[in-house]
Amino acid sequence: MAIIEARVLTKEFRQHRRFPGFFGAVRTLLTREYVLRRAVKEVSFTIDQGEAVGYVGPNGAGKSTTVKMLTGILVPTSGEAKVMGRLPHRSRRENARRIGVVFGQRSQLWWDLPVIDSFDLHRYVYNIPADRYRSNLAECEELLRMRDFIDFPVRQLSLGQRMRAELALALLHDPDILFLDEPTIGLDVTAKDRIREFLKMINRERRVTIILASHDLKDIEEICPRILVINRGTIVYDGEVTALKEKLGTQSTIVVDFAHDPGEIQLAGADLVLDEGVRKHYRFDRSAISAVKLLASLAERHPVRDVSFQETTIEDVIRKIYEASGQELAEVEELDTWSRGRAVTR
Amino acid sequence: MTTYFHFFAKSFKSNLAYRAQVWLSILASLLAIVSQVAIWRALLASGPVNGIALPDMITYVILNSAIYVVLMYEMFEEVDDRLRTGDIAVDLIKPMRYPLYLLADQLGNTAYRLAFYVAPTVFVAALLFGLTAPASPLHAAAFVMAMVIATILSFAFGYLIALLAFHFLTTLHFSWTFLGLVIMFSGSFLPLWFFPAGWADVARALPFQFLGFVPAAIYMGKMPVTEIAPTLAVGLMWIVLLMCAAALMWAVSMRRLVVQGG
Repeated sequence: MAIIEARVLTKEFRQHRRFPGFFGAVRTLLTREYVLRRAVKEVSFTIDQGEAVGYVGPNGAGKSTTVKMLTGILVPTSGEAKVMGRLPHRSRRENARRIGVVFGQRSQLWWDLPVIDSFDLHRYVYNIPADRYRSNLAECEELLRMRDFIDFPVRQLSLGQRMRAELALALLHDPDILFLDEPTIGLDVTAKDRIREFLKMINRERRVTIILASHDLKDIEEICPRILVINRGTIVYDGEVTALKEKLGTQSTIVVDFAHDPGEIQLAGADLVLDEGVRKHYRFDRSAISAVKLLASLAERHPVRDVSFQETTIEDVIRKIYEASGQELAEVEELDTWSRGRAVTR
Repeated sequence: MTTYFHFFAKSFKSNLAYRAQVWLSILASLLAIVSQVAIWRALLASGPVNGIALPDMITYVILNSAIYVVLMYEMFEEVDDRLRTGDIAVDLIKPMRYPLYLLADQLGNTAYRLAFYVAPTVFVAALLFGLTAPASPLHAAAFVMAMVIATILSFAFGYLIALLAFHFLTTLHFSWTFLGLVIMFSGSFLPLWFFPAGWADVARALPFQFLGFVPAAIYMGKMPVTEIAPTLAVGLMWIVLLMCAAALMWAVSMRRLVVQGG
C-alpha cells in the first residue's frame, strides 16, 4: 500500500535578483527583477508502507526541499504530495502526528533542559498514552544506550549522544514514517554504525517506513534497499540499490603503484581513468580480461611496486548516472529572470 | 490545553538555567529606575506639574519598569531568529498550533521574569524610593486586569510583527518602527499627562498606551472610576482586532513560508 505519493511535485522559489558589488547592492534594493529557482522539478514517486528508501543527491539537488514538502512545512508550487492519503501542508498537524522527523543539522531538543524533559514534553505534544511512552522510552534507552546521559542538559551532550536522543525523540510517538535528513552528518564511524544498526532494526521490526536523505552513500547502502537519486531537482534514478550496482556490470578498477613514473601508458583491454604519476587507476571488464593477465602484461614492461583492487561503490554508480544524464553535479537551475512579470533574456 | 501548559512550564524552567542573568537583570532594572527617578526629582523639584507630584512620578516609574519587563512583544526576535536559521521547521513539524505554542512559551518567560526580576526589583525600589499603594481595592483589581490586557496585547503585536517576518524574512524595519511608536506613545517614559493636547489625543487613540500608561494610571487612581471599564473594553477590542489580523496573515504566511538552510 502506498504511504507516500508524489505526483509531478514542483517547488519554485522566487528571489529578487542580486547584483554584485557595492553599486550592485544599491541596485539590488531597487530592482524588480526576480530570479526563479526551481528546487524540485516535476518529481514523481510512490513509496509503500514499510519501505526504506534512500534519497540521494549532491548539495542543493532538492533533497531537503522534497522532505520539507512531505512533512507539510513547505507548500508545493505545483503538483501534489500525498502522505497517508492527506495533503501534508493542508493538514499539517494531523500529518505531524503520524510522522517522525530528524534533521541532522537542527535540534528538536530543549537546549537548556535535561534530555528526559524534552521527551516528557514530547509526550504531551503528541498525546502519547502513558504505557506506550514508557515502553518506547525504555526500548530507545536500551538500544541507543542513552542511560548515562538522559539526565544531562542537551547543551552538555556530544554530537553523537545528541543525535541518538534526536532519533529517540522522533520515534516516541510511534510514527508510521520516519524522515531523516542527513542524520549521521558530522558523526564518527562508531556513532554512524550505531545509528545505522538502530535504523535497520526500526525498519525491520517496527515496520516504520524510512525516508533517508543523505549524501553519505554508506548510510543508504546499509539501510535502504531502494534508492532515489535526484540531481538539479529531477529524479534521475529510482530503483533497487543492487540493480544500480549491476548497472556498472562487471567493471572493476585496479590501482597500480609503479616504482617510478612510467609516463602515460595505455593497457590493452583497460582504460586509464586516473593518472597520479606513479599511481594509476585502470578500469577494466572482468568478463573480458582477467586481472592476472592484465597485471602480467603490465609488469613485463614496467616495475610494479604494489597493486590493489577497488570495489565498485555506489558512488561510482551515481557518478555514472549523473554523467549519463548529461548534467554536472550542480546547484538548482536558475530558470528565467523575470522583470515586472515579463520574461527577459539574460 | 495541557500540552501548552507544559510548554509554559518548560519555558519557565529553561530560564532557570542561567542564574547570573537574574542578578544582572535586577541590577539593570534598578539602574533604569534610579536614573529616571533622578530626572523626575530635578524636573519636579519646584512642586507638582499638571497635578502630578514627585511621589506620584516615582510610583509611575517603578510600575512602568515592572510593566516593561512582563511585556512580550520582543518575541518577534525569537521568531525572526528561527526563520533566519530555518529552525522554524522544527516548530512546524510538531502537531501543535504555532501561535498557542508561542503564547505558552512567552507566558513561561513572563512568569519567570515576574517572579525573579519584577518582584525583587519592585521590592527594593519601593524600599529605596517609596511606592504608593493602589488608590483603592477597585483600582487594584482594575490594575491587574489592565496588566493582563497589556501582556496579551504585547503578544498580539509581537506575533503580528513575527508574521511579517514570514514575508520579508526579517523584522528589522518593522520592529524599529514599532519600538519607536512604543517609546513615544505608550507613555512608559513620558506619561500622557505631560503630552501637549494634540499629541495626547493621538496617544489616546492608539493602542500603545495600554502597554504602559493605562495600567499605571489606573493603579494610581489618576483615571476616573467611570472611565476604567470603557478604557479596558477598548484595550480588549484592540486585542481582538490584532488577533484577527494575525489569523488572516497566518493563512497567507504559511503559503509564503520559506524554510531556509539545508
